[in-house]
Amino acid sequence: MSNFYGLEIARKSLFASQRAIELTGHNIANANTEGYTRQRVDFKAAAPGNGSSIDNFSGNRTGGGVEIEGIVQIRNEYYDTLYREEDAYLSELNAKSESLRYIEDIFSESTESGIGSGIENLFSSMEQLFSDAGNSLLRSQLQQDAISLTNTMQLTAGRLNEYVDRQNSQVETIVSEINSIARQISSLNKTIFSYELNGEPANDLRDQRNLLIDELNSYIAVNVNEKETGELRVSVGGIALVDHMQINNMVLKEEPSPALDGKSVLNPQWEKSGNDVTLTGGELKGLLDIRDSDDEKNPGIPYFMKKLDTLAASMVEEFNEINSGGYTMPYGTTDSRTGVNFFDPTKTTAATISLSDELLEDASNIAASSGPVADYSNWGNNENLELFLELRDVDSIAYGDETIGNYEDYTREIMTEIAISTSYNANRAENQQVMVDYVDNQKKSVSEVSIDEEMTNLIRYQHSYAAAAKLMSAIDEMIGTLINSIGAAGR
Amino acid sequence: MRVTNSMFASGALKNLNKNSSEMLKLQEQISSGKKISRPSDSPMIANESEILRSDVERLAHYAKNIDIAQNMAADAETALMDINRSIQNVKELILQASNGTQSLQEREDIITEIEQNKEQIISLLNTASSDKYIFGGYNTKVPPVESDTGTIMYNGTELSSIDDVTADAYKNELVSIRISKGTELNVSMTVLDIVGYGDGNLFQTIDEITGKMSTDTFDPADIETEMGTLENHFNNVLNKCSEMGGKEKRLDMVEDQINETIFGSENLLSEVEDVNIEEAIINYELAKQAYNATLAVSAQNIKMTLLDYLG
Repeated sequence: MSNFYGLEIARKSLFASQRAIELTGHNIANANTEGYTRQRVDFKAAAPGNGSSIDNFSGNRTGGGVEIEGIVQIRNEYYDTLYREEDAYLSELNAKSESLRYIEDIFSESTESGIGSGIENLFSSMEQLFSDAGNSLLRSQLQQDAISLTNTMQLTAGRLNEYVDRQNSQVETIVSEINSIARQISSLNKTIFSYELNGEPANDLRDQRNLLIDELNSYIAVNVNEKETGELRVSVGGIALVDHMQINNMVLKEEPSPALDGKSVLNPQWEKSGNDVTLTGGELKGLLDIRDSDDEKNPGIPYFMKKLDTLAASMVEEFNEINSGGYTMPYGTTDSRTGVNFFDPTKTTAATISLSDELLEDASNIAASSGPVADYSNWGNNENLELFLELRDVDSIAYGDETIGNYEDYTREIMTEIAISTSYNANRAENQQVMVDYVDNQKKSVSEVSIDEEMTNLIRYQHSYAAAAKLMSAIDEMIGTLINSIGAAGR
Repeated sequence: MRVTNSMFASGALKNLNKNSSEMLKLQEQISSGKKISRPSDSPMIANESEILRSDVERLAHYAKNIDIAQNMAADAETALMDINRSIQNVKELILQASNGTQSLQEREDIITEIEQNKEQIISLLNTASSDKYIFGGYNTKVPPVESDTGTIMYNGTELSSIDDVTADAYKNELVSIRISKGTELNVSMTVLDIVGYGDGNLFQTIDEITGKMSTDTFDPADIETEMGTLENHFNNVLNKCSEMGGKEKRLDMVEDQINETIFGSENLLSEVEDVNIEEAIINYELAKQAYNATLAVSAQNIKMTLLDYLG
């Protein structure tokens, strides 16, 4: 039988080349498949067979041809981990910068209808009334300016509140998406594990699973661990979301937010333990940071809401103190009186601020005068109005432990703060994008299919196939020669 | 580094995107004429231009205030000049009556004429500028001077009974206007400043003279003191006239200043927020070149494959 040993080598070589060509085809077919990792056939020189060659006794044994050791994926786990880390941060920054852009629009000063120009108009009207305190037209103008300022503040606070609601529903969508991906990963875990029990890697299923983990990771930063035994664990903040085949669902708990004046918000929690989910990155973290942060360094909606509320509360306090210290104009059957509020003193947030009932009823209740107004006296008295005007340019207004300075500067500061954190986050997101692109390129450089390379391989394997076929026919001829010639010589 | 086909493709896309967003930014700048379209584009520029813009708006309001004040001052000056002329008339009429040849009847006629001038002065003191009485202090609503069967009342009080304390309170009722941050200019003047109060006010002086003139035994020497007081009133009104003229001049100067500041601030504002068109267009050309080059190179690279050369 030893003569047929060469045939066996040729057969192995043919099969190996064929498998390699098939795999090249698989790679080419998936050149544009997202998440596909190129695969390679690992060849191994086969050990010489026992007693299969005439040279066995001489000790000069030839090898047993080629053997396929396995089909492996070309990937670098390090880049996978790095990519996920950077991408989770990018998603977080993108979520933040988009939210801040929206907040910037809500506050927008460029539309000429912002809070800043509202305050400016109010004071300008006061300055005009100052030169003719008894003029009812100028008083109505001032009243209208005050109404439009309170409306703008209410509108801005209202839109911020609505935005919190929208973010809550976005959180809801993301959490249900996270749970759904977790389910898919656990079922893939099961399939891959049972497939790989017989020792063959489930390359294409692993690609699918990696793609799902990448997607999950952009919502919420995860850690991935695979045991030697092939059991995969995906965890968030140290707690397993998927542990091999088991899922730990996230649920949403409706809670009053202390930073948002008790407005109810949705917070993600672990279903099993009821503990809060610790977020380290991803879109969800970005959203929640903006929704919940009242920190100056990393400002979110509550921070700006607090500033607006401070502005409102301080204006109510200061304007009421001045207006109630002066005298109003007589109108109808109402005489000139003192102690009338400018704003409604019970409504001290930006969402509720409104003029006092008296001022809404009649603009005569703007207390411009320092003394009672009657036919011969004080129609043109503007001494109390002067106190309002002084308020415009001081830099010493404070409310609680917050320094306001004056209202126009304070409003401008809020605007600038929003603009700065918006542009800061947008810039960071842009830089982070560069980082992610770089890592992604590194990752692709290792794992992605190159058509040129596959073509080269195809030619290589084609040639080795042809050579193996040639080998086959050469051995065939050799055996033929042996059989035919030996018989003839004896005759 | 190993380079794959899709890296060419995604790289080309990324760079084209970058180039075209740069072009979009420049296009926005050129078409709007502004360096930034939202505050976060440059918080520095946004803040600076917001400060300048609100400055300009405030100044424009002050300019409006000054307009009103100028009208008021002009009306006041005219009224004061007319009052001065009336006092001049009264003076001439008294001189005419003091001529020893005048009979009592003739003097009575002159007194009637003097009374008419008095009425004229009262109506001039009740001058209103845009529906607002300008010589009544804080009383801008009703005519400040009224004659109640011969008694002259100021803001409801008898003029000759006003003492120094009351007068000081009245005189402090100055309606001023704001002409800049924290600066006020007072353009008003009260009746008390113009005709005096208490004993020896203009009307009382005239009344005393006409009282003495309407007696048979009238001797011009009797009214020498009163004539002196009248002369003082005449000079006082003249002074007030030039005082008001001075205020008008001051207003004109402030107006010029404000207009200059507005002009300066607007220039500064334009410098801060307006785009330098030449620069923007050159930048646009550069961006366009980069975009074109990227297009050309990408088109070449994406097309290339080993397949073209294999049989």
